[in-house]
Amino acid sequence: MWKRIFIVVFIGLGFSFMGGELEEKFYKAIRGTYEVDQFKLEEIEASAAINEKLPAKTGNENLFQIFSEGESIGYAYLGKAPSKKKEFDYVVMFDNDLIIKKSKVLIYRENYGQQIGTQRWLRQFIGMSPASEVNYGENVAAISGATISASSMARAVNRVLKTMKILQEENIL
Amino acid sequence: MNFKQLLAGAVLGLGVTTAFAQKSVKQDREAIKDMCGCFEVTFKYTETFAPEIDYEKHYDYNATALEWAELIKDEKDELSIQHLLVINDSTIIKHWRQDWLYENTKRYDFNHDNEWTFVEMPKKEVKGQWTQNVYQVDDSPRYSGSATWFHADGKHVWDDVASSPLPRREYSKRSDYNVMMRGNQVAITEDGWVHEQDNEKVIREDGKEDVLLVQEKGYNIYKKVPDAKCKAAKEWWAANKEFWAKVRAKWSEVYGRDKDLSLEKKVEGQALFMKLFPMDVTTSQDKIDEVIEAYVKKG
Repeated sequence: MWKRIFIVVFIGLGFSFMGGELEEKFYKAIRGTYEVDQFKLEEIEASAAINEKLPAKTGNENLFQIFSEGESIGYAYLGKAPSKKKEFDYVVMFDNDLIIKKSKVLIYRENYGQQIGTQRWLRQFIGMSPASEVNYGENVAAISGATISASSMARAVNRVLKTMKILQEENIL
Repeated sequence: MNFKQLLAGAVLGLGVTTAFAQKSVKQDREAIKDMCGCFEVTFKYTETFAPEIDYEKHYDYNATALEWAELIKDEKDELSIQHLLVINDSTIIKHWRQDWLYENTKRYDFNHDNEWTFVEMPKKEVKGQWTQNVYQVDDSPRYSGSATWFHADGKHVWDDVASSPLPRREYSKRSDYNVMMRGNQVAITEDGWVHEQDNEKVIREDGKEDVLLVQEKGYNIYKKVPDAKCKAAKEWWAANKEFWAKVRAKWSEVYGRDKDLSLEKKVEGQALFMKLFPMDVTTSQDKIDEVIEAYVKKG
């Protein structure tokens, strides 16, 4: 049905599974959000049949369960979403109950739309669960001057939430 | 034009230049002295622009204080101002110190990790300039910069950029950067003075280019109030100034070595100020020398 791959992450020791800068920022986001120095990542990959149903895919170093001192401390979904002409990398981090603890834009590749990186906007996703529905411009405020990227991020978070819901129903999480 | 006329013109020109320079130095000294007295201080800092999108800006810093700034040295080419914090009208804490030196050629620039680099500036480069040396509460170095005071349109302004350690407000709270490039602007105002800052929090490693973490805007606004409000600080300084003169004398000897300076953050588990602050005012020069010297790294 699904498989898990363990990746051990120690402070100050890189493990190049996704590439330098993104990897560094991803680990930094985890350390800051969960307030841990040392942690272990376990990649979660759904079977092809389930993956087919997921709005946000697994299996390409996307979904991880995070452990610290032998205990699960949450989950992180690492994904890409389109900005106007390029793609940006983002992460959505959950607690063990699949409630969003924080989301971050890790790498952004255009000069316009960088406002989506501010926590003043991103904090709107905190507290959302797989049962939540993200509606850009309604329960998530629009950003004037960054409409394409902001709506893209909102859709991405919505897809991740729907994915977590399916994985929960399939007893994968 | 004959030789006599040329000579007369040159003498007149020299006279005007000298008179202008003297007037300027007088204005400079007055501006520096305007930073003395009793002040209600407002400290405001906010992080502004970060090059990396995932940088999370820290909360703004806002604080207020009552501060006494006493002129402790008043010489033609050197002025020194000691700042003291007044807490609850009666508790006094020795705060920072600023020395101003005219056409000074030697100073210490902060490098990183409690290391300062000795810098010798060419005489012509510092012509008409004042060096501001800022010291910690224990009179160890903090940062230093040299620039010209400008007096025009009713404004009296001095500004420079100085490499400095983390500010006290973040010293024990932040480890994600190790150098603050301070954009310092000192402006004398009708109400007192303003220390406006355009800072850059940077990560510095030997042999690598500085990496900018985030920029910061800061205002320290000094509003002059009657000296009577700082009476306790004046009295405290009168009672303690001899002790701190000995501390400055030792540091002066250390700075006079004219070489790079590296200091221990702690000796026997204590920062230097923790050793100096409880000392009796009658402590001997030898004892003070010994305590400070233990913090100066050898070699």
